[in-house]
Amino acid sequence: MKYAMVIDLTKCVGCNSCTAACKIDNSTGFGVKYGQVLELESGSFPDVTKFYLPILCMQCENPECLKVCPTGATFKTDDGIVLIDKNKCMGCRYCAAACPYMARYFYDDSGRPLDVPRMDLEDERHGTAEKCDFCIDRVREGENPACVQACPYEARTFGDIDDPSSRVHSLMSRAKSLKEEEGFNVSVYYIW
Amino acid sequence: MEPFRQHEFGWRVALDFLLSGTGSSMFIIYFLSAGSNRLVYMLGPVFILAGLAVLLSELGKPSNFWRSIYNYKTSWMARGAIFNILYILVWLAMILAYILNLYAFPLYAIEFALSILVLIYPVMLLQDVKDIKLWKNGWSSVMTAVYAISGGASLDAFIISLYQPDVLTLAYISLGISLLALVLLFAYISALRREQYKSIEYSLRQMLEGDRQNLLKLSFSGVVVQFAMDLLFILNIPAKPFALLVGFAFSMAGVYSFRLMLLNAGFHEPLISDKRIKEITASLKIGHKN
Repeated sequence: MKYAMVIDLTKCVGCNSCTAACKIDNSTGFGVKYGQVLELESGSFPDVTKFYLPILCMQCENPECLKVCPTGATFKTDDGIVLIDKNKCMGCRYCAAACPYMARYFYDDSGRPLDVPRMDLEDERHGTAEKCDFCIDRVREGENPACVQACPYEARTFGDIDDPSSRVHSLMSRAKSLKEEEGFNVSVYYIW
Repeated sequence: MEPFRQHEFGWRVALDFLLSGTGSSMFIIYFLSAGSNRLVYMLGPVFILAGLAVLLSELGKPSNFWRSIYNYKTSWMARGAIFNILYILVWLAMILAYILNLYAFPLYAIEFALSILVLIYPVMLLQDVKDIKLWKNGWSSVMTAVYAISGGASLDAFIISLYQPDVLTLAYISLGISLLALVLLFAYISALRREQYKSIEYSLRQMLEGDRQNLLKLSFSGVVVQFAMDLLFILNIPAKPFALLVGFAFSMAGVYSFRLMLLNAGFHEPLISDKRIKEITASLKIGHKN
């Protein structure tokens, strides 16, 4: 079993529903976005085309973050999801520097306004690295990740890539990934 | 799409690299010059300790620092932590041997080997970041190591000059290394102009813009000042300790600014190539027409 996500760029309108749903579901801190939507354009006036590129942790098969992590806090599950053990992370940020996809964040609440109270989980998370984990808790309960569920245009498809009956599997023939040539063997694909 | 800059490693990491590089280099140079003053040998590890303290202040959870030796099989940061810890332990043994007046040459030899490892680990740590081509580039690695050694040699020459007028051996070594650093820096700058290194071109152009340009100038001036100080020693021109201290501080600022510049100019490859952007937009246009 290997989880993967396919994002259809022809359907994404850049509404950022996925970004908001992710922030709410994961209670991410100030400035932390496990997933974000980049606005890109090409051409010159009057022939300009703009499109949106949602990015998140690519759940690489050969993750650079896992290789460089000195404490062994980063690990991979059998279903291909890269996770961080908060109790082991020492917050050195080497993983964030090594990540080729801007997908790692350092949880630091220094930007939190004084009148906003700290949440319960924040003490444990403070000073550690964070990233998208494909909403592993939801996925193990048979649900889709928050971003997939929130997308109003069904631009995102999530599922088991090894299951021939899954929609993700059927989309793979058209799927491409970012920085393919580097050989990270990611689990997030794009179609257009 | 433009390459994106790394923001994780900043001035504190550069300072740690400076201190560990200087501390290990001064031990290496003094050992190679067959220096006999045991107190000078003891000084190098103090810099390493200071570097570790700076590194601890950078960590989000310093209480987990002890875990940093865990993933030594693949992580250069873990290997670096092991080298540093061993270095400090051998240093403590050296201090004990000094106090008890015991024969300690094997300890110095071990510390010399560890110094080499402590010197190269920051270079390897940066080399391991596959996506930042400037750090992965062998040229940058050689410069980083040479700069560290030149800082250590300069510190050795400065300290010895304070109580021992004859510092010729050290001054010659230091002069040779600072000359090498100068030649490499000239080659580096000429490489920028030729834009020979396509993969690191973006980072190199960034070095010549804005504040980073000042860092490049400072790192160049630092080596020139160090070169001048070594000439003073060799030509036996008397200089006041305060003037030497200022010169030494300037040369260290040069070494530091090179490291800071290297970190600041660390850019990741663009997430998506221009070719692919054109491919996507062309496909989207067809979709809209349909």
